[in-house]
Amino acid sequence: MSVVAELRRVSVLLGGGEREVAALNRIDMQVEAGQILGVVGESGAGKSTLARTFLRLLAPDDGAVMLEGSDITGLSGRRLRRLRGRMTMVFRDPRTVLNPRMTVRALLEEPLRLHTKLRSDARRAAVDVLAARLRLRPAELDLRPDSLGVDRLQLVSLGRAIATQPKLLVLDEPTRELDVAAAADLLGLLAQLRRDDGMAIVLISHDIAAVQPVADRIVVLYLGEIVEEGATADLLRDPLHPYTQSLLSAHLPADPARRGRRIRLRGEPPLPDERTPGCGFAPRCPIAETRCRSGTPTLNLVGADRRVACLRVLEGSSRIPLSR
Amino acid sequence: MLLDVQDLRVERQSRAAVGMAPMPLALNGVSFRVVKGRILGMVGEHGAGKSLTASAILGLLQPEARVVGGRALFEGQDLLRMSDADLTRLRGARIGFVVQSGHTTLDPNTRVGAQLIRAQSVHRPIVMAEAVWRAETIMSSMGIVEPRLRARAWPHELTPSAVQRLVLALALINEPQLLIADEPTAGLDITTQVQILDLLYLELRRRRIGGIIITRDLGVVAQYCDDIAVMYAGQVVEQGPVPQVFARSAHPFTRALLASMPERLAIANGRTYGGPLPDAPDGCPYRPRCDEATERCGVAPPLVGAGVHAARCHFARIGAA
Repeated sequence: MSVVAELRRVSVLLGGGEREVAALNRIDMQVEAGQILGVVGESGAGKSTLARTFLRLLAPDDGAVMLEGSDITGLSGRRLRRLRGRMTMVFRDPRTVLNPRMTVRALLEEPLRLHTKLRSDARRAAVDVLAARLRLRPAELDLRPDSLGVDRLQLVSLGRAIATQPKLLVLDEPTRELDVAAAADLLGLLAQLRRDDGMAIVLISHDIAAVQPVADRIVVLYLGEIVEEGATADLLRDPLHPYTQSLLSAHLPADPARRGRRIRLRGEPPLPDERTPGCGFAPRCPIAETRCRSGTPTLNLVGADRRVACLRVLEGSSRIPLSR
Repeated sequence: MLLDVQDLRVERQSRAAVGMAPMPLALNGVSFRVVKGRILGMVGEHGAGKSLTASAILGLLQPEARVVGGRALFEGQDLLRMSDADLTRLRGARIGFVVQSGHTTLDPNTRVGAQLIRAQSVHRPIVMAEAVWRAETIMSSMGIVEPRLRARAWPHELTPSAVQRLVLALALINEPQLLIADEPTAGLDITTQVQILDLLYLELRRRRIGGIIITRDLGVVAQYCDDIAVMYAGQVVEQGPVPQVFARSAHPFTRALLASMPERLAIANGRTYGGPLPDAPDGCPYRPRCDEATERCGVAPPLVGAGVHAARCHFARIGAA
């Protein structure tokens, strides 16, 4: 499969002067055509910064951003705008991104008007096809955002993002505000876009469970760094980084028979300016050792297809014992 | 029986009433019970009426909505027929309430500690030293470290998770018999969500407080609740003890909810679930989305089942494997 989008050693600094902190720190990541890459992390992990960097909504301070083989790191103005139909984004809350004065039809048509040369009747037909695909009812096309629920609006938001048949689609917590059935629907549509359109999709969430049903690979972020990356099934079966283990353990299974025994982390996810030397996760890690607070782990290949950044993983002692 | 809600009906005036069919009731006969010391998880989708039920019980409905029928017996007294003054005495004292987006309930101009003191003094005469001690105790049981120091903080200085811990502390400080918490951990990070729910659970258990946790996450119900009430279109469509309802769901909507949980979701390259919301037809409101609907579903289904587990479906088989 061909790589559609890629981050190469990307760092993004936020703040300025003495308060400058790295929101992303030397990130290597790529997503292929026909692949869904799940990106998971909590507050301060750099998820949204990552999304914006992929789309060159912000410029990295170091490293390169690639789209379909060309370096788009330094592009700006019109040359960047020309790419906007080829890489698109869906945000967490559609209620804040859709123009309240436009009808659903106009909202879906707008990207076609901006990025394609289709004439008005062809655009109209394209919107009808798109609406059918999203399973929006014809009557909904004439409504404005305030008459639709958040579940429907997120479909409209997705429709705008895929109208121009982009190569890269980035979604930042797209299911967080949705009911479970609507969230399942949206994930189903992403699976279709992967299969039928060969889109490269980056699906971002704070919860592994929200990406797990469709992601081919999962990247776990903590404090702007990748702590673990691997194929979804492998990573879920045997999470190696203590933080991945904790995240999986914090998911609440909808099964009363599986109660109890859970890894409980202390404190809250830190912000980038609270980073301590050594491993960023060490202050909250139940199995951190003295060396974890001084030596910074690098992202190493473990086995055939897994990358993990943990000093203890090398000798196979990175698993957190479950306590009551 | 701590709380016994029977056939609660709430009407909401629609914005475009002229020339349109009358709006269906926003709550159309909601019935459920909370047993002392047990935690009820109330689940359902956006607009199913979960928060509205809580507001109706507590006399906190917005002006456009009003109760048109039913009873809500709290320790034998009907909350729906109580005077505003009596309800005010009850709320925050014997019934704790945490609204959605709880940060809006904090007073931005008062230090955190002073708010915890005030929450006590509005309900009874206090001895300052004791009130301070209570405030610090409840803060630490909600996981706020160094409570004495944090009591000096202003609300805007707190992280989102600390705000939520504080809002829960405020609801619990007068040792209520019943706590109603509407999405108490929505929007928080997943590792902090677990911390807070664990502490809340312990606190409810330790003091034998009955709880209603309103949530969209069946995981929260499975892990922390004793009983479940599933709401759909302004009705409780299934209720019962958590182990029974999860193992042998009697209502198709409950089964669909469970099947949509990410860890149970099987997405075979593009098969999708759910669909547009129904237009509240006659008969069973879930009919337009139900895979199992038949002609009989054109008639409103009865509550099937006796005892603790019941469902509002013509085809419900309670206790069947």
